[in-house]
Amino acid sequence: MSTPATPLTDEELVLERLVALLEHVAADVLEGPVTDTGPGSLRRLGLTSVKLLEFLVAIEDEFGHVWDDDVEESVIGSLDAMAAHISAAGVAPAPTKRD
Amino acid sequence: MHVKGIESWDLAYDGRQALHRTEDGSELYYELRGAGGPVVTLVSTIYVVSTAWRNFTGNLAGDHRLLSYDLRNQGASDGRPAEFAQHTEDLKSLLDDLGIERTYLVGTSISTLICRDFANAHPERVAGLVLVGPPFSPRGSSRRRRIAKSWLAALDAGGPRALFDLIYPLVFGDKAIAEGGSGAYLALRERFLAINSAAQLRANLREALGAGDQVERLTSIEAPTLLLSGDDDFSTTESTLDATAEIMRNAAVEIIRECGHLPYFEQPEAFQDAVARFVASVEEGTFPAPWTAPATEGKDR
Repeated sequence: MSTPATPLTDEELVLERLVALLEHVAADVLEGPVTDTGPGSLRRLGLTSVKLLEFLVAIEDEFGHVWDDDVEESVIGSLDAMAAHISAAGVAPAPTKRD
Repeated sequence: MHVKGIESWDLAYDGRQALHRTEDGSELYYELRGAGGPVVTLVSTIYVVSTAWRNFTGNLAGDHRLLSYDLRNQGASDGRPAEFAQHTEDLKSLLDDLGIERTYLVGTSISTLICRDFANAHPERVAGLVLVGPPFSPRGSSRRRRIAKSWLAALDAGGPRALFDLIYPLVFGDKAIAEGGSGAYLALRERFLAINSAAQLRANLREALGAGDQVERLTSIEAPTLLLSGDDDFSTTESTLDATAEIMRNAAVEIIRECGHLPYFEQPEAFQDAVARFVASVEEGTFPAPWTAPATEGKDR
């Protein structure tokens, strides 16, 4: 008898969307799926400033989240920290408009 | 600086690198681009690594050979911290290795001091100088040294993040900061923190503090020199540049409107146009009189 899957938390849902969004935005530079979401994960991907800025702008569009200057540097360097930050800000994932 | 422009910035090291080994065993990262024409060497500074120049020199690469490199202890270069004068010898070593007998030098901010010293030490190797946002003046550089000390104090107190927060609103102009918003700030901060270690920044700032302020080093430069600055530059003014040009042997001043300390970031077209016109005028033997910038200089284009 299988047990029902544990529902994902809001933070986990945001993280899933962030990974999908990043794979969409940076498809031309990523070598494969984004599987590493630990501390420093974004930095380890070696994104250029081009891709990082595109990703930040895409997050604003996707989540209705507005970045501000006071965001801790660890938030911009890691997908999981970014998910926690966005989730804590209380913004709900918007329906995706991607193909 | 428009957001659209920012999105085209690329600071990544992507395998196009080459390394030059200096006599003391340091390794300098460099890139040589462009099909042909006069050699223009882009001398990086504390917050501008060699790869950044790709973004601001696409037009120049069409008819110039462009050499950019990371200073020792910067970006992808390594090496032991040294006196500031070592940067001059590093540049000579790199040019020798690449067989470049004569070059135009483009310095920015602190690296204009490297260009100044190189032009004095090896005048036969310098076709001309473009000094962008130079922090010196006929009065000496006490202001520049006080600024460098405050940057070092910020680095010691709060690390690279604190240093970035201090320099960001200084080096970029009012217009660029307003238009870039938080997205540009955060993206550039992240790249700055990823590329520059605290040890590298500390070494570079300490070396810059050791740079000599002697005004006579300006008066003895023989090479044609263009003093180029944004009109929103925190480190100099048009009157200071005019006074500097007065004491130099063969210098002209050009001001680019609506940008700060790094015109190549904020007005890359105007920057490249100024460098190209300067090189052409020197090659044709018409520099400097009278040096006139285009009527549309610095406008959004």
